[in-house]
Amino acid sequence: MSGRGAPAPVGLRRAGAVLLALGFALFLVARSTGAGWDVVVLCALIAVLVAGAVLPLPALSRVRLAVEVPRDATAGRPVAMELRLTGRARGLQVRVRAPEGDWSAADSPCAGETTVVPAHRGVVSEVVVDLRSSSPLGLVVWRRRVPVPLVPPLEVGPRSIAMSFRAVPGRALTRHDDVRAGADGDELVRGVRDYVDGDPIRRLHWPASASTGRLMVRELEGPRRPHVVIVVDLRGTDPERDAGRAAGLARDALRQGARVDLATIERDGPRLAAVTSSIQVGRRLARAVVGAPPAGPFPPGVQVERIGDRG
Amino acid sequence: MTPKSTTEVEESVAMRVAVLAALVFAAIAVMREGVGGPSLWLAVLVGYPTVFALAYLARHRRPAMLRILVNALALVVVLGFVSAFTAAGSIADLQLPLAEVFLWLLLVQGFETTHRRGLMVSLLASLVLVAIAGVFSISMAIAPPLAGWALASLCALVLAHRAELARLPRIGPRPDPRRDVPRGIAVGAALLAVVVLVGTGVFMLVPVAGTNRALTFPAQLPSGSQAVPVLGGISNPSLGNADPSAPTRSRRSSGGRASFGYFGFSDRLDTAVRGRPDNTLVMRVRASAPDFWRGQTFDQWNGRVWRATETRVRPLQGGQPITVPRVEDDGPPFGIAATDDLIQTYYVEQSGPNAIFAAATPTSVYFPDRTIFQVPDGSLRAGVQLERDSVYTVVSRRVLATEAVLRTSGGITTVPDEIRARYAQPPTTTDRVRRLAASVTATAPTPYDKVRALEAWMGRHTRYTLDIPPLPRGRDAVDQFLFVDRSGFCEQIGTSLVVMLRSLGIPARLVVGYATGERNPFTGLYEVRAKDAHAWAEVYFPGVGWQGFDPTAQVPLAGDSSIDAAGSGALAYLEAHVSVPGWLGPIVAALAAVAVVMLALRTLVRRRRARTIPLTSWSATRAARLERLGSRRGRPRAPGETLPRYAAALGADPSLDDATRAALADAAAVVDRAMFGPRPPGPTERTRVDALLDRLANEWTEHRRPADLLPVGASDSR
Repeated sequence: MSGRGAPAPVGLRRAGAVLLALGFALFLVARSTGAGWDVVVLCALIAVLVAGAVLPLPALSRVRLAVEVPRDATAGRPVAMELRLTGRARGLQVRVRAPEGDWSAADSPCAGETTVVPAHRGVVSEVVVDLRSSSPLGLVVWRRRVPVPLVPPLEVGPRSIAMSFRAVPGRALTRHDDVRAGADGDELVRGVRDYVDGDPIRRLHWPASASTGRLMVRELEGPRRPHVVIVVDLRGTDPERDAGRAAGLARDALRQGARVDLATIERDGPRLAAVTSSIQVGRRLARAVVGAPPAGPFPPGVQVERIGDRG
Repeated sequence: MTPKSTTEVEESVAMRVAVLAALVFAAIAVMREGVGGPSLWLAVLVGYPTVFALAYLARHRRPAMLRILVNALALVVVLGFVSAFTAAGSIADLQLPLAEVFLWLLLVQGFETTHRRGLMVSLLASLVLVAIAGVFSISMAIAPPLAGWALASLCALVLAHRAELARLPRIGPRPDPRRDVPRGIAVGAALLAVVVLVGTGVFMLVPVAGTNRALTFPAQLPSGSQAVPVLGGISNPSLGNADPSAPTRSRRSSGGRASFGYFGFSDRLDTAVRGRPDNTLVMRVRASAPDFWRGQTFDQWNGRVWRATETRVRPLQGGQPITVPRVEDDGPPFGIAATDDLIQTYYVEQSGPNAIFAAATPTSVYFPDRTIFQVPDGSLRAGVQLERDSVYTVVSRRVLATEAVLRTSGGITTVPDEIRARYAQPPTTTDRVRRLAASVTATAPTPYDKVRALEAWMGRHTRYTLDIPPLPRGRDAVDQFLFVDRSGFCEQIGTSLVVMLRSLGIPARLVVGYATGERNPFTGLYEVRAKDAHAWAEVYFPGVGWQGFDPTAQVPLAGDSSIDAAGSGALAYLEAHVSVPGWLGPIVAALAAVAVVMLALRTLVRRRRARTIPLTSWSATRAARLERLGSRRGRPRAPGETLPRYAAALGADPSLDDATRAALADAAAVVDRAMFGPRPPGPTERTRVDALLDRLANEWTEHRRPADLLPVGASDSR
């Protein structure tokens, strides 16, 4: 992903401003005393200021920028972005402007990481990188603002606020539909049946196959787990906080082995879907916008948790 | 680029050296103009570097003794200035002590160069010093220290900027410090070329320095200046035996005329004399516009010799400045033309006449002697010999005469009788000269047109040359010039114009002085040489006053004279005064061609390299760098070895101290976390890792392997 942008002057740096002031003073001295050498020095000073104002421009113009970012991030936590600068230019300063990062120095061509800290949850489909240079003299700053579209976008989830999930007694426990090949070791063997095309090899039950002479596979059923729907309503006074609470609750529920469905509203409309990992929680909440979440109906017996001032 | 960057301790030695060099060059430029004595030279050449070195050594801790020393020194310097201030008679007298105090204060300020702010203050102070030197300097002697200062200042600016950038976290690897010097030289040379090119262009455009707003003007006499033998009389030791004050100057006037002595600066001017002064620099003149520097006039002509018959001189006394009153010969006050003030400062380079040169018409004089003398023709004389290094300033009120003004002048008022009687009497000359004047000006309606007609005729029918035959005994010099030789130099040409004008009843007189001289575009001063000694005509125009005319040289009318830009004639001046060997041109051209080709090749190679740069992360580059360092240390990273284990293996070297070992482990952990951890390390941790790697790169430069640091695979072989 790369982008371009036209350089624009930012202004004089402190040293440049001081030189300009001294140049003006020198002009007055030369005019009042007739000192020819002061005119020579003044011309040199003007030349230095002109060089300081002009030289950053070609260097800044020939730099090309590419950015690689991870898919996921958390609001308020640093995320590393990889920047790649091509085109020869020394003494550059680079900063990711949105999300905001710190200035770094770079001598292009080069590649490396810079860290940004997304302030808010959301979907970042474009990063804006500021390149600036006042090299080689450090007198006048030129800046180039480069918007770089991100495909796929960076999804900044909310920072989790600690919440504890408690399954409500009496609510229906949902059978886990996913067959996870015993990865968690918590599936139960319900029985064996004949092998059909598409069954995973790892589910072959060799003793039964040996005794029957046919390929037999195990039938598994997931553990009976709590099923919770978290309705995230961000229309309250502090949507970031609500999103963080939703993230904390969802992650705690996932930790406890519950099936978690998130009910949010996204740009495309309301969405009710399961999340199975912390990353998915972050992404879903990153995409969530302020609006009315799906109000149901939810499957009977499912535990519904509402997050938000209105919830 | 944090705002605090200027208050941070500066570690860059190169920047310190550049700032110090700029400061020393600037101080030398000032001291070469006569500021300070041996102690100040010692302070600059030894004290400045010492103080800078002390500041560098104490940059992290400022001892109390150092602070006390700084304050005590500052107090001493201020007290010294106060005593100089009380002893000074005028603001002009304070200039040198002020510059001296400033130089001493900069020595004190050197202790403050522990931080970048202090260094930048020193750099800016060097600019102020250069400006001071520029005010004092009237010659090209300032050029070498100025060039050194410019180069050092440019380097200091570049290095300061780099040092500033070095404080930021970096994207990509740090540049190899070994390549910094050649790269720095290349950047510096390119920068210097740009600055010289742009500066030259600006120099050709900016207006000239002026002199009309100064608070005070320079005036000084060298110690031991002697009074002239006859107060109010003309004295010219450079004429030797022909010195008009010779009868009373038995010793000093003995001998021949100096090579730069002009025979016109006397009480008589003999047009039969041949030979001209040489190229000796006699004085420099600071003025914002070109003009003729008048010395004296002659009123009486006898066919061969001009005489200044007026002997009534008036002493003028006063403070600074001495006001110069109008004289009768100037006629009524200027009326029909605008006027402006032209300030001229004269720096005497050779002992010459005691004439106080001035553009017409002087109104006030800044002269260190309390008394000067005014001759009725308006010219001024000093009461002392004007030796080398004498300086005086004259303010002249110039009538901004234009052709239109001069043409109409006669119609408004008439020539005063006194002026007509003295300067328009029928001259001693031949009839054919009179007839020639009448015939040439027959169709000219105004005096101005008559002057121009005569000038034009002489321009067509005579030629200027220094090689003319001797004037035959008894011949009229003007007749000889106009009808026989038809060649001559300024005395013949100017005299002919005056005589012909007088024959027409137009008041005219011969003036001697110096032509403007060659303008030095760098100092802004006119360099007047002995050969610029000149004679020309002055014609009286009612309501305007005396106006100079000369067919020999370009005599600018005051209303038309100006200089376009400060750099006008710079190249011609350099061409005339800087001798370049003939073989240098082709060599420079060849070197430039080689440089251009190399630059083009370099650019091509770099572009190719730029296309193939791999995308590497911060963690990967740091891990690779640690591996390189370890390999150099004799312990390459084994396949499959984690970075923390590798760091631990490197840390097993007994020659390392515990702090380095811990730093290695920390760096490996940070890099490892950057590679695989959920949260990347922050800027502080990255900076810490980079600092360690930089330090190890410096320390582990030797290719030695510690005895008990096993290479990869060594344990298997045992």
